[in-house]
Amino acid sequence: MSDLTTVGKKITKRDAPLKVTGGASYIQDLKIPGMLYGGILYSKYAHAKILKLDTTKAERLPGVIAVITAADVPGNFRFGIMKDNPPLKAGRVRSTRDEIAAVAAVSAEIAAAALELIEVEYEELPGIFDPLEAMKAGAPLIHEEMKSNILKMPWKLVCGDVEAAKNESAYVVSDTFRTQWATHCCLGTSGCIAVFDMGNNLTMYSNTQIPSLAQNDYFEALSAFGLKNRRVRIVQSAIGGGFGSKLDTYAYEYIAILLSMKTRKPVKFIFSREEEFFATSPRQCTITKISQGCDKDGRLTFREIEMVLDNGAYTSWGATTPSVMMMPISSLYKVPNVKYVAQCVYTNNTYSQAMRGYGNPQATFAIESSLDQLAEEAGLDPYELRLRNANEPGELTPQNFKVTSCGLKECMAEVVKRLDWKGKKGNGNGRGVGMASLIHVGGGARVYKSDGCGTIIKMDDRGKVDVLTGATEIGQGSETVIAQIVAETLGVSIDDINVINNDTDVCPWDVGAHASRSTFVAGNSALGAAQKIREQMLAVAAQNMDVDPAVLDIKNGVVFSTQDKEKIMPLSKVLRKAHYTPGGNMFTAEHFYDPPNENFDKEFKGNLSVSYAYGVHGVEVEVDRETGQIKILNYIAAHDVGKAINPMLLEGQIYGGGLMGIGYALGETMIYEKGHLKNGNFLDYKIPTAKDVPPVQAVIVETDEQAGPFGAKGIGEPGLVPTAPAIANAIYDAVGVRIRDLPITPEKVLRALQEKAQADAERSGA
Amino acid sequence: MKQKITFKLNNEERLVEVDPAWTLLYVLREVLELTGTKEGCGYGECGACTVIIDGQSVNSCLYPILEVEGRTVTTIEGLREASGELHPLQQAFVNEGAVQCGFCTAGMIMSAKALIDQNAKPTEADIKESIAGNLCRCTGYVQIIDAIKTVAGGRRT
Amino acid sequence: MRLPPFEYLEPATVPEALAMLDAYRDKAQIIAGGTEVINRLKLRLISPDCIMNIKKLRELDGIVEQEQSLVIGANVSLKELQDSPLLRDKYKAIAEASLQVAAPPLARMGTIGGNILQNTRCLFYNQSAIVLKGLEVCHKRGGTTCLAVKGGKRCFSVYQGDMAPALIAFDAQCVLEKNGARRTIPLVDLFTGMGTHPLSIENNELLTGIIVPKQNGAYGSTYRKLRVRGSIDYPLASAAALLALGADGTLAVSRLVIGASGPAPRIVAGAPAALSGKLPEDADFAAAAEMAYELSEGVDNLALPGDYRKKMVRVFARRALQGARTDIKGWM
Repeated sequence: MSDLTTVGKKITKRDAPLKVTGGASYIQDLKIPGMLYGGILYSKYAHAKILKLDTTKAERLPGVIAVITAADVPGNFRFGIMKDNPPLKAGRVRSTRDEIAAVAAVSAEIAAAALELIEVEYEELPGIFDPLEAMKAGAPLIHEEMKSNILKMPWKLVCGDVEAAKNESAYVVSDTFRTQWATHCCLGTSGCIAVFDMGNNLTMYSNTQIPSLAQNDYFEALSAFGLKNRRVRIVQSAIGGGFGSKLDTYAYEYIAILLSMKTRKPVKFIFSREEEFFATSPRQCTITKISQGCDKDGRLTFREIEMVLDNGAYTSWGATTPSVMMMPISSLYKVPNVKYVAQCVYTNNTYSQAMRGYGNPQATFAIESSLDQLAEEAGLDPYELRLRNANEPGELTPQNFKVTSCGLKECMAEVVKRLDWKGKKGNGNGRGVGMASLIHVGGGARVYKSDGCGTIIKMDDRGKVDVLTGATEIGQGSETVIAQIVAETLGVSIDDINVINNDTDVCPWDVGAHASRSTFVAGNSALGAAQKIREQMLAVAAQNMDVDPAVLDIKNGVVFSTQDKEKIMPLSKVLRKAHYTPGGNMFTAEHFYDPPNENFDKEFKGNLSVSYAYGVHGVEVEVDRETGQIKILNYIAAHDVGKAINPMLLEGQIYGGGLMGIGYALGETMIYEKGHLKNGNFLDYKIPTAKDVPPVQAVIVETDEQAGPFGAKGIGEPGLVPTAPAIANAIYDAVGVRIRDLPITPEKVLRALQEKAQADAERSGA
Repeated sequence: MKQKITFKLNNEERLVEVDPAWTLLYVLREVLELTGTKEGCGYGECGACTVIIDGQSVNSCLYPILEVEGRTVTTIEGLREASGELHPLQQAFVNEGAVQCGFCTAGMIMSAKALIDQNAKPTEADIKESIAGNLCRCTGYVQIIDAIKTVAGGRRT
Repeated sequence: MRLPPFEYLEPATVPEALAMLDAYRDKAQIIAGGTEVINRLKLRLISPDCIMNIKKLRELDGIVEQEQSLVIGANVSLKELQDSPLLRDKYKAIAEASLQVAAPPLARMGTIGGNILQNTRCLFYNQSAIVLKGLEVCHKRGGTTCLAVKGGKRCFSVYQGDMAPALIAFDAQCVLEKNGARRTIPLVDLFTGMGTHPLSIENNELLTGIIVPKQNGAYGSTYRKLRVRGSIDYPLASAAALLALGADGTLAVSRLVIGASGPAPRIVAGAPAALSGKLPEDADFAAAAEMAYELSEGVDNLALPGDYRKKMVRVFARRALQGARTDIKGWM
């Protein structure tokens, strides 16, 4: 691997030229002749009975082609992992994002006008907005057919003996941490166009992150709607951001399908920004009780966590975040005894799904804040405590994760050095430093029955390569990385690679752009297919050049003998030789790579991923004691990435993830009042602006993961996993207060400072 | 009642029939089918719709169309050289990793162009100020700021 | 997201505009930069029959220095204010306020008149029809309840304009014209203090200009605002201060104005008494800031809690006074 020509280089993103000229087509830009525009009527209340629903006036509005309600949905179709979510609600509404009716009209204006003409009579019911209240016996049921508001999805992980370990610990800390609803804020909102052909086969133009799984979801929906055994095709537009927001299917997609079925026309839905805020599913919020302990030498003895998750009115991926939260709980640092219990509880709030990190940021906030508390209790520097318990290569964690490459210690060392940890720690004067580590899956994640991705490569007569991949490009650069891997393996210029990734009719299966898996899984898949093609090409070349294929190599599109530089054959000639012969052959190859990771067993143990990504964030803050405002003076994000296939794109993930993490830590929160979202806009929901960027360093640590393509692991999510606790820990170092519920707003810091001042005064007998 | 307006769009004189209630963004995307300018929020809070009018960057989602009469408008589609070569800002965005999902890109580039056309040697603070109204969720702004710096001459790649 | 239908008027002169206003009265909505009006139209908070664009009124342009005052036309853009060396040198609080408004494109489109005349805001009011549908009709929307304050008998919406507090610190006046009449009133009197009807401008009146008296001698001014992010955000608390020394070297003029602390920008009336006749020290500034705190309202209707915002008025008032002091040579 010594002289790589493409891998490891800052290759420009291949979709960038089209995007900088305004030529990329996002779902917002797509038009199909004759298409109709859809609109959805949402519930007025968080919890109510629908006494009357009259759509007659809307139906009569000129330009309205169809209006549907729950009565128009065939069968008892429900979607979502618990199958508790009907695309249109009847009888009872359980949240302010409940869809009651939908229209398809010839223009977006008419669709909006039609919605205003739908008459609904409600009987408002008292709502439950606190999961702790909803858990209590006798609490009114959100879903009457279930016996309890607690989801039948008990999460429990037990490793070792936590009770015994507690008794043997020299130091123990306990506390409760809370995290909020935060949302993706993709600049491109959600949308789709549903179209049927004459055989009632469905094509969905979509910005989904899960084309193959969505295909399956729609297939099942069509069956339920009476269209059995149809073909489903997903065509992805350019995607204006994902971050997990498009990891599940939404009601509006099924509504689009139903309207298209009814009208026999293409039906387009585009969410307005405010719909994007209140009608898409945000990051799972959490209430976490945590205890951690260590022995007198600072070695961690146990970690015990109890979580309550507000599941909202219906179930999406938020309820499965505990499966990922188990990862830092059991395997961040060496902790021999672990107990974790999580309950998801129905309420009349919004419901959550995947968001970058998928529970890891929430759990890591509790774990890493608590670890600093433990360090203080044990009289140790927080860095020292982390170093003593750092994970190492070759480890088997209590959850049976097999740690292969691990650069955790190297990342810590980088942070300590670049932040001037020793010089800045414990200085007081309103400035302080803090750090936090992360573990995340870096080699796929077996959360579904398959974690695979397929690639098909075909070559033409001139040496141009078509790579058909199942991997979705959501802006992270997966198609560029795949092109690099293929170019490197085939010895051709990256300009000769064409990547096709947006059509399920053409592209192989992939479980989705999630779990930071694209570089690792899709990359390995592309690598496998490219290696097969390479073998085929070298075999033909060897025959023609009369040498052993083992002595051949390819560079710059030319096959050459490593033993005799005179012996060369341009690749294009090899290809034509193979093709233009009687009984000829064109080079194609396919490779479906399903990583050798494991599904969890009944005890939630198993090697979830083939490799694990590690990292450490360190931050220096300055606290304004009068206002509680936090200024970030320096931010170091060190990440163990195995190998940086494209350092420029990789840094982009670290910067982007880091700033998203800073927003999550300091300012972003969805403000709900009795189930109504009050800040569904960019003014009152505070995602960071260009003026909020702190001085930041992205540090890439390469540990050469053997199982990864060219040594690479994943990076998509790690960027925001340790951000919040690193900041919380720095604030504690600066002014001695710890904020336990996110976001860390100035108001909370000020209140904590005032409470501390009071407590200090009382203590000193003032 | 539709009205006719004339204005210069990307160096061409245009005559368009418009409804007074339309915004410039609506006319660009739906009437003129120049979909490079994006609608990110519709309320002037995200900058995805930024275009340049008479040398100043503005939010086209808030710009009443009748106000455009007689003015010079430049959108992302008007940036390329006549030869087809990318404008230096566009090339810098490509070269420096400033584009991820790309939805904010057109607005960012237009804000940056308005800055550089008025101030050939902006400081880093000037650059951050010029894109302060353009939200990006993917990049964390670092590589965007670096790309603009490169064009502004303050940095070598 | 689309605008409601309306008739579009574009008067070419002020007399033409005033005649139109007389004819249309409350059926017309004046628009200049459009950054606020277009939003309110999209949210359907207003549905006027016609929109009257006053951008073509040349009489409303220009920052003109006169003998005893500075006259700023109502159509002067926030960007023009930002770029003015005269404001930077002699009317610093006003320049600082203009630099902290929103974000650059909005500053280019927005005008000083529009910024002054902005409506009050509240999380329960500035929402679209979808959200408002599920809420009771509050005072500001013509109803009888307050959604921010349980049982609130009046509207607690907040005036979040940045320019007004800074201008009021300089004792600015505003010129309001209507057909056949012209009145000049202190800018602070333009604000009623009522969230439901925050401005005392009649529906056939046009704000044409701001007159800022010249300040002489040794003086300093500043505008400070609390915001969560470095850009885009409205103030969650703000304060403007002007301090001027008299001939005897003690403080002769002091004006402390607070914003984002109730339905109108307020002059802290007790401040001069606490500060004048001496060279005030930090303890005096703190006393004046305490008065600002007492005067301010903090209700949970913006992005940060009300009691915190009220406390920040005290902090920012004190910082504004200290900031104004720094420009006065020989004081500190």
